Amino acid sequence: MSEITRKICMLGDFGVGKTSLVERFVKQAFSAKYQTTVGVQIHTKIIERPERNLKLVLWDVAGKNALDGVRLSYLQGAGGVIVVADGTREATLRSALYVLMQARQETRADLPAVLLVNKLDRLNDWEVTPAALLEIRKSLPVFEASALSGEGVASGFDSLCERL
Amino acid sequence: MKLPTTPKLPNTLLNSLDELRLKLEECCVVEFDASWQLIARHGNVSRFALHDLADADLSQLFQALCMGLPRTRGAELKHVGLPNGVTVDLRLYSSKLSVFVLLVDVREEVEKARNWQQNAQETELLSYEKSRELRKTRTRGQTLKSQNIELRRNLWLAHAAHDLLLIQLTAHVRADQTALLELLSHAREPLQKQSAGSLGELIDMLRLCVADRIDIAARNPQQSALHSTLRATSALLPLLVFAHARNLNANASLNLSADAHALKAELTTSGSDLNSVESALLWERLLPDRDLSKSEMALLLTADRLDDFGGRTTRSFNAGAGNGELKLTLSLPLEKPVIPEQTRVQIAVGALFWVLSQRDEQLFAVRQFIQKRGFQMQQHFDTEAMLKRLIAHPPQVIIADASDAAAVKFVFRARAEGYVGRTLALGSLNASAAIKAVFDAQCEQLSESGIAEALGLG
Repeated sequence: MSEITRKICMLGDFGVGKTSLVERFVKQAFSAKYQTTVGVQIHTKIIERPERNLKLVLWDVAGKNALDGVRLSYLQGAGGVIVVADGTREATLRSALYVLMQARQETRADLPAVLLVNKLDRLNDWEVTPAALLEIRKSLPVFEASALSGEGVASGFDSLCERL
Repeated sequence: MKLPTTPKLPNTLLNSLDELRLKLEECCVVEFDASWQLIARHGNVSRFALHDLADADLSQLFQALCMGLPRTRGAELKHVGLPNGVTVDLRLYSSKLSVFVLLVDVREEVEKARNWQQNAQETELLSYEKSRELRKTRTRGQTLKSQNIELRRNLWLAHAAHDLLLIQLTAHVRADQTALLELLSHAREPLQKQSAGSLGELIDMLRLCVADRIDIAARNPQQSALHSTLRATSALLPLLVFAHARNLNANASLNLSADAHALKAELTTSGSDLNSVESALLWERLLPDRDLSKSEMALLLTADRLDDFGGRTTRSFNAGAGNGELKLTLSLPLEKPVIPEQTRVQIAVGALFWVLSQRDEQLFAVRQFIQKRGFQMQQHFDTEAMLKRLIAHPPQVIIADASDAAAVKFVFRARAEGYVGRTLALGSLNASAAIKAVFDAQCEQLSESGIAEALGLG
């Protein structure tokens, strides 16, 4: 069966859980130990589909609250982006939206994207309010997720895949 | 380090390889055709774990990695972590027929950067967590603080309500001295005579009740014009409570003067004029459709006392004086008070003892009141010496706290020793044992329910 390949970039501030989300999505695993990413880490996952399998090449880009030249270079050829925020740090939501804006400026304005708000397992510590997410949902698919429990992770990735 | 030296390599790539050789960097080159089919692997590909990858897999991997990159010198991706765990800098070169991917091993450099970055980010995350915990603690502290303020406010309101009740009860006691005399039929000295006094005594009594919260003065303190300082006190106390409740952080003063017919009390407070509710309470006895505030309750009580005295009150308001200045003038006739028909003594005495142990200043006031009239108040009575003293010098009346088993037992023993005077037990009795003890001691019981009913509080 033939397959199509799509490049997806994971963007967002450091410590929001981009690597953990990818690990959860690709390997169904989670590590509580924080391991920072330098540069970009490449993962692949094949999504089986009736007509044609979809090969995702996931670019887990090192976290920062804005995209510099190096990070922008990773975006070349991206079919979609997943911007990630940490629900327990409100500032990371702003960073996520900002890097998405930068990414779309760098690539194309209609670059498919979803927002994953991670750490749903620590809902009691969330600074991101439902009202803020409701506002964002008007222009961007938003998924509350937990890399730890896996909740919402597949939904977020699936949503983007449908839009690629 | 083995570098590819095949003449097919483009010059730009060769130049890069020379540079890398000088820097002693490890690298390799993978060559593809225009459709990303593998042509050749150059250099130390095993260092990059690419030697055992099938051609097709290698093609797929680099096609995906280089997706969207321009195939010219300058197309470069730094610090790319390959799926096989190797981290490389990746550069693209092209000739007419081939695409060359130059891989430079940067694992050492990336590892150093990772350590530094890991420490910096962990520190920042830790710092954020700490500040979050601090914020939470502060929020919890503020919540507790506001709860504490609310509790203190409620306590203050409870105290205020209690104060008003106290004033009301004390007022009844003091207004009904004659009835008290009838109850205590063999009092040693006529209370009527003692209760008459000067403005100075009135001031002392008022100060005793409201402490130093309000400045109280008289034009001629020595003037002995009052038939009953206690009765006058009972009328003026609610007014002072009103002033205090209304002007917690401002000054209030009371000036007293008297002539042969009337006592004149002029209360001055800073602040706003009487509002419509306060005016309605004071002059029309109209209650609002809600709970009364402390100042409103005090005002209602003032009106009530004015009714008892047949007194009257006037107000004036000077808006120009600072935040405004309200002046209330009470005129109280000084003729001998009319004793109400109902016997409020039971109410008064019972209530009095009920509050005695709660409020030191009231305890002091009541103690003075009792002792001035030749009565003894015994707080420590359960000794043989006290019993002998009682039998040797029997008082006319013994008043015991019904809820205090020791007090009732003492009365019982006094009866057994031959005491034949009157005995009163104050307070409600809930236990059958206490009822029996009071009965055995031949005490007349004054209940608190009777007090509440008589005061309209039930």
